[in-house]
Amino acid sequence: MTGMLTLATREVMERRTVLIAALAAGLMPFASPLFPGVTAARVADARDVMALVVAAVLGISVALLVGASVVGRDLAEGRLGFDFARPLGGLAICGGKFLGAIAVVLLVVMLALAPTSVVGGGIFSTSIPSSIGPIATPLGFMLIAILLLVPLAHAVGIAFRSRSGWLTLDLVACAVVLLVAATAARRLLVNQAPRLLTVMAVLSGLLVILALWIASVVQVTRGRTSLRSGHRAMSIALWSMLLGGVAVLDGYTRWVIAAGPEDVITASGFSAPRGDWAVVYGTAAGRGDFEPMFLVDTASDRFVRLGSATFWGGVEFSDDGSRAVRLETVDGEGDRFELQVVDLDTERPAMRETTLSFPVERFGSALSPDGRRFALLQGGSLSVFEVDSGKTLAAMRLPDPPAAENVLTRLAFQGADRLRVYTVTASLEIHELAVGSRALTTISGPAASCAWSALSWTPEHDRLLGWSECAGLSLLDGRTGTTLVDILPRKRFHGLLLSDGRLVLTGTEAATGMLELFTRDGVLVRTLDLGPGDRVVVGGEAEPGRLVLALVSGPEFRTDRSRLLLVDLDAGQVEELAEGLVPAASPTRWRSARPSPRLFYRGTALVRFDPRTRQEHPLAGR
Amino acid sequence: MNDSRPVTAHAVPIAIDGLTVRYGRKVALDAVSLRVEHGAVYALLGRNGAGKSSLVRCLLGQQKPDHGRVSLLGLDAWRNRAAAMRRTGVVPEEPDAPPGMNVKSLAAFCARLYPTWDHDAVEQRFARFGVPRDVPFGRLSKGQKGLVSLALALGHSPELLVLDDPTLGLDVAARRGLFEELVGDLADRRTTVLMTTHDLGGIEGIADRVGILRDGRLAVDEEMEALKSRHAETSSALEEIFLAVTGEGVEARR
Amino acid sequence: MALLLHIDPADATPIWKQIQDGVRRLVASGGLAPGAPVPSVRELSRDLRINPATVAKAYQRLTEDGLLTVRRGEGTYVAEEPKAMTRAERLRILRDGARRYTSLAVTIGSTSPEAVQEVRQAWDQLERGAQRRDS
Repeated sequence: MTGMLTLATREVMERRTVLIAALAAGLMPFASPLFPGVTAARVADARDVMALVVAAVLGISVALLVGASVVGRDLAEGRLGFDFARPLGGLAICGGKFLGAIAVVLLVVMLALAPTSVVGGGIFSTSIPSSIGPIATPLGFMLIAILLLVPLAHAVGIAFRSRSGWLTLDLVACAVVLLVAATAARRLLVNQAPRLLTVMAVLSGLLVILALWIASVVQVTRGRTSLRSGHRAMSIALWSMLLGGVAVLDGYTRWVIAAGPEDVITASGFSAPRGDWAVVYGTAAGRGDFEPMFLVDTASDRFVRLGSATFWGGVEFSDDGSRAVRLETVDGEGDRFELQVVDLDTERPAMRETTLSFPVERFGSALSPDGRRFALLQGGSLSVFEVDSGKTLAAMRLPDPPAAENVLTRLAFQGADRLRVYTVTASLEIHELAVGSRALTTISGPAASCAWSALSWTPEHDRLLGWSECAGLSLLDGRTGTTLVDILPRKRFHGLLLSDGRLVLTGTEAATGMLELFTRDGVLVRTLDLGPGDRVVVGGEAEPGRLVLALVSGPEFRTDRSRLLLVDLDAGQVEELAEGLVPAASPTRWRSARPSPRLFYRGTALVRFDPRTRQEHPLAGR
Repeated sequence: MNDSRPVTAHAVPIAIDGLTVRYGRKVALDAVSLRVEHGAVYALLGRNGAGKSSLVRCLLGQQKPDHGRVSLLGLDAWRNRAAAMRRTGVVPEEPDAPPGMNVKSLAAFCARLYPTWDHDAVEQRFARFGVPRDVPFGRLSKGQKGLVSLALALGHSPELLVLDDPTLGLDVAARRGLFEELVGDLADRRTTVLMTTHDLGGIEGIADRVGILRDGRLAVDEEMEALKSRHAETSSALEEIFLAVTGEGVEARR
Repeated sequence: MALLLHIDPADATPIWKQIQDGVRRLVASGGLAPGAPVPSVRELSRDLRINPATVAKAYQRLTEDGLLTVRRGEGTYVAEEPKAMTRAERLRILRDGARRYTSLAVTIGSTSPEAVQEVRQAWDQLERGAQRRDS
């Protein structure tokens, strides 16, 4: 220990002039008033900033220079034998030299900051708010920089000074490590896991620092007075650690994205309108902020990986449940979407690309009930495509294309041949396109005094339900576009259009669940008391006239404090189906003919529940 | 002579067995074995490239042998280098002390590393050599550097002294001073010495055993007296013997 | 005294023997008087730059032969009455020297009268030198 300290002291003393220069540099910030743009009020701040900049620049350059020379120069000039001929162990020599080097860099930084801090600068107290906490201070960063740059400069110095073939190995291994690391990083980035990436980056950084230090120690203790053997030992140690580390990183990232539905912890999802398929996504065990998404066959254990959960509008099922499509950004080109499709009725369903791609802009879209046709409204242009071939079946501009951004746009196929387009600007505009003949008819609706935020319709499009802040719920005739009735519901009440055109309002008042039933023409005919609760979550029509909903207690969104109810609207009866279940809501594209509810949440898990048979089986989540 | 150091029984100062060193395909040392007994002065001779430097590096634990064992005072040179160096003094071929440190601070540095450092003796040596204490090592003459290196090597009264071509490039006065100091130390402490050198005339009187390395092998390893009497008919000058053994230029001189 | 001993490390004769013979010669020729001090092992080895062990060996033999005496705490001196050499010893030393001298002379191609003449001259020189010192 004394030997190491004696050696460290010697290294520091040998570099006295550098320390004096650092102190002199620390006086430079006092010249800040001479800089243009520095007012009298900001002199102190400018001085502090200058001092930090000087200290950082000096610290980094000295760290590099000292790191490259503390062992390397003595080795190259044949003077390391002096220390090796003394009773100093290899670790003592190594420790003494590097301790001295670190001490020199720390002293340089301190001396550069000393004059300014004596005058009362706040440099030592400044911190940069960030998620990394206490090390996000200037001093914290400098310590990390020193711990990284000193052994890095030493390693690079040795590699170049030794003039041996090991340099080639170093360069190749470095390239491999960087390549694999970049691939792993990209894997996480593309799969929307930035926090996990940050954690991996920090751990990798620590590994690099550790590996550099271990390799440096190995170089001194095994190479001793020989540059070549030292380089050899160092390279072997360094690259075995880094290649191993990067292999683990790569393996881990591969494992992360290879998650299956059984790995999901907090599961969310929605089901296809018909059939057994559903979209399931959520957080997964040991995978940080990566949220895998799957198409799951709820009747078996087949599933299709969909990468990471993007947003609800990502995946859309056809009404007959035979297909699912999604719009994905094209790899490498951030400005285009491409349409991908999967046939769910095949034996081994898999996502495949179509030839259809669109620019990334606001759009409205719809899928025909059989999934064979895709309609897109973008920038005022309406197009209908055949999914499998990519053929354009119709393309035209709307007569008065919506100009503004926040315009409600909804498209819906009626059968395979008729497309309905709803846009709300100053008024509701209803367009109907006959795909075969490419004939477009336009029906104008009522003027809207404020923006509409939702629109739903019956399967025949004979009744429409809209929502706006100013007019509340508007029930309209879908054929003519005329408003039948405007209802301003009570606070926290939501409206639902039934498949036969009747309107249901649900909500809670005074901690009691309430349901109101209106006719096709908007006349209130029934009010039902659903019992105590804080929120109503509507599932959908299990059968025509029979509504499934949950009455939830407490503020939490995912909770098992709920009662699942079956409401017979005609008979006016409320029946309890189960406890602890909440319907898993469909994606935000509000429309009627909501699928008969099949997926429910039980706490953080997603389950399949049949309201008729009362049979429940778990799908995903714990 | 008062020698109160504990004698490590059975620990030969230098024992090299089957030392082999290879650089790629080139064999620098081929199964070399030699012993240097207590109090002996061993002169290791050899042309440049004969393997002397490799041998010295392995001897001082600075290079790992490819085969064979090197032990210094009973300690493995590679594995126990620091312990062996506590009792060994080294004078290198090229003076390697930090050039920025002056003689005084060099002595102070070494003093902290050895429990047996004799400060007064070191000061007396510096005085005898006439070396200025406050001049940085890098600015001393070659001769002064060599003498300072010797003084630093002797400062902790080592049992074993290893000198690698200590008189290379030294002027006459420095050379004489070095040998006188060496001989004085031998007289006082019965130090064991291994010296590699090209200065055959200088060590002829001092060395009592000679080894000659040729192409990585020890062609000669013999008592000085015996070697000379064997060559008495031709020429007993060490220089002549050396030339004869290494096979260079003998015919020309004849 | 170192200079007077004419030690040649290159010579085949072991150095300890050269020292031994040299001291003997000096004592015989009067260069070293009985009872005179001789340099210590350390001093002589430093002056000659010769391994002290060698010097020590020579001194030891000289002491055994009675030519030198060691006085505890004072040093080494020439014996008061150097033991007389036996005739056989004297002849052996002379014969040894003569053999070496003649083989040297033959090597350089000298003739016998020439070589003998040189011996005579050297003898005269030594005698004259010794007479000068005594007077």
